[in-house]
Amino acid sequence: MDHLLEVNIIKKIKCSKAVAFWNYWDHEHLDVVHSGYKKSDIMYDDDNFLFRIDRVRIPIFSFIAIKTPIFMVQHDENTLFTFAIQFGCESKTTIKMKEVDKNLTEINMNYKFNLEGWRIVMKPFLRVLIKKWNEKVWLEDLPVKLRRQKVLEMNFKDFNGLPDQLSDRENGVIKDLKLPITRPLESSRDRHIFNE
Amino acid sequence: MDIQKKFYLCETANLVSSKYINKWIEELKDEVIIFLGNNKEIKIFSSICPHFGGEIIYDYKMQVLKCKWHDWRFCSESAACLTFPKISKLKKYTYTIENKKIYLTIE
Repeated sequence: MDHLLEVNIIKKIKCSKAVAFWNYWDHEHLDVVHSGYKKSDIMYDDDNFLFRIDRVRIPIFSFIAIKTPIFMVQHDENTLFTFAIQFGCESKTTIKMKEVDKNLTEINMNYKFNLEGWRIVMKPFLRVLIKKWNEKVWLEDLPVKLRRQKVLEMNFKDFNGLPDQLSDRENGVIKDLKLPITRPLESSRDRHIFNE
Repeated sequence: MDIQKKFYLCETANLVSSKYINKWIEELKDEVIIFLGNNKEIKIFSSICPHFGGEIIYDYKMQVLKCKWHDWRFCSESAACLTFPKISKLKKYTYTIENKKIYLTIE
């Protein structure tokens, strides 16, 4: 199908599958860690899905920000789907994870864009843009995931920090990810017009 | 008898030029931030954010500590969390200076 643009990128990272998925579901870091995000508002989320509206800066033309509705669903323990509308085109991103071992995960990122009508002319441009966006976001997230893995291996507890006793700061077991990730009541993600 | 342990952090001159320094101390299994506070007094706190473990850095213009992951803010004097006050403070460390070298000290 000519109007379907598909880009597939596979990468490996030295962290557990739970940490790699945590990074996708930690929405509060988006506009702090990633320069491509201006704002991100969570409209609704539950134990395996979320609906969010982002304002993102386009790579290359970073002075332009577009509003993007995003629906994310944790389809099964290894698969995450993201549906969005960007540049007026529907897109589906499939993230598949394979835990090679407890400290190494392979991530398969598959992007599909439906370029109907005149939008077909954007195909070569979008292909480049997707790869650039993926690489930029990957590099920004990389130290986050590696550090998160390190602190969890030291028995870090969310909202509490490291254990007080030095002897307890080792052999941490990384638990499966539980969604939604806890946010404080006054989280910036929940400060939007529909929550006033 | 108490045994005092000390760990080399940096030279005092480094601190003036760098504004702040983050350093992992393997023996303490902690990462610390060293910076000059409001009164040019040396401050040393743990730099692992109690929220999700992000790196704490020092914004010397605003004189506040903040997390690189979620922008949580901490007081540069007391190490108390300013964003969500119920969250625990960053751990505070003591230090000594010998020959213009700063050492973290543990009793």
